[in-house]
Amino acid sequence: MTWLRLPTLVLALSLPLTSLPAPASASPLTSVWAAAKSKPKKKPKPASSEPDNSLSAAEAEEAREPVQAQAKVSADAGDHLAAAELLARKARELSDPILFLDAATAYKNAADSKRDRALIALAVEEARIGLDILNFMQDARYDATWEVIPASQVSAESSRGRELIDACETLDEALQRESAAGSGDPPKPAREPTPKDGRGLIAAGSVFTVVGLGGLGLMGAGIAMGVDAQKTVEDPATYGDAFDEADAKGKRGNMFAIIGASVGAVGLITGVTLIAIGAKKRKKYREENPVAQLRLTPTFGQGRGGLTLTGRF
Amino acid sequence: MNRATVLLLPLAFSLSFGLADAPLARAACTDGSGLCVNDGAGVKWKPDATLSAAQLKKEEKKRKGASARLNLVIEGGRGSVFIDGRYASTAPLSRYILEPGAHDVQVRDGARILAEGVLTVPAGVDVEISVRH
Repeated sequence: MTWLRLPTLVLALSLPLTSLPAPASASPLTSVWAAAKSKPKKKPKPASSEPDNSLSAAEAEEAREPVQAQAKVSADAGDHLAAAELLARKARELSDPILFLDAATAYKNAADSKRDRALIALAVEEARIGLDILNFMQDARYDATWEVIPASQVSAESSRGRELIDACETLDEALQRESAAGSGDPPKPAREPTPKDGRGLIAAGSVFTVVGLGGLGLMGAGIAMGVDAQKTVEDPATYGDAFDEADAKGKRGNMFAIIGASVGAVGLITGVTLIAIGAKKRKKYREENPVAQLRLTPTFGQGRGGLTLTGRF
Repeated sequence: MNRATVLLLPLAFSLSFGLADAPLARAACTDGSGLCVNDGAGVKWKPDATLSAAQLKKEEKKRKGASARLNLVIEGGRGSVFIDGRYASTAPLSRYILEPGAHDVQVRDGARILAEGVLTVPAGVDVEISVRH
């Protein structure tokens, strides 16, 4: 039975060894193994501007809701622009198409309240970015782990984006019309046509009359000059150069008298005729078109003087 | 008047009136893919190529070195840029930080895709891209 002693001894020795509790701390051997397995820590990489927004739909909604709530506070207070700016900023941070569309809506409301077309352009651009993302979400290149909205919402949000752009275009047209109506110069009051009351005839007649009177004046001067020269010429003491000079003066006077008479006659006849026709026409016009009569009369008093405008309407 | 002067005169005239400013600054993108890499040594553009999720993960692990800076403009319109499956920004992009390596890129205006493909950028470069609308 000695052959049984060796296996029994081996069994007896092995059992206590395997049943021993594991050491509380790592043995030097395991520490070295662990140290060999562990790699030295890498230096942290600099922040990249590449998208790192691997959100699930639930996480995205969680991130979106406080932004929407904050924007609503501004919008309810009438500050649509502040709401739009907040939504646009957060939309970029989260790459969230819903926030882009919300920003577009807020910009449109701001444009509507401020009547500002520049804000409509911002609204349209925000809506377009939202649509870019929504369209990309239906593309094969889209990273499905970046579920910023559930796939079932993409179609509805796309429709919302397109309707928003249509609404912006309608508003833009309305503002453009308003701008065109507002910026145009006020229409000039239509100039009243000159009444055909003979005023032109009277004015022309007056001019001719003045010219005729001038002619008569010239005639008178010419006659006076001629009479004076005649006297000089008839004087026996006048001879030589003095005679010739008086003779020339007489001739000049005669010429002035003839020209003056002609001009005076034509001017006076024409002028008086025109004034007469004009006066007749004015009388007729006033009978047909009774208008307010205004009269300007000079007034004088003790220590004062002036003009009085009286009228009958 | 020598030949150089004769050639330079119209250019100087155009510049003085601001006529030649835009064409000289950047030629219009005529690439069939709709995207032109105007500047950036070692930048590769593979139009219509895609990176699967697994490839993107692999690329992310490979990214080493200084970031590249991306400047992107859209000629004649607007659009948003999507990089590696996510919204990056709306054009124009100015010094947008891009890790080196391959990136899945799409530029779109609403439902219309302006350009898409894989853009590979080396570390630390400035990349100038124009996209035709």
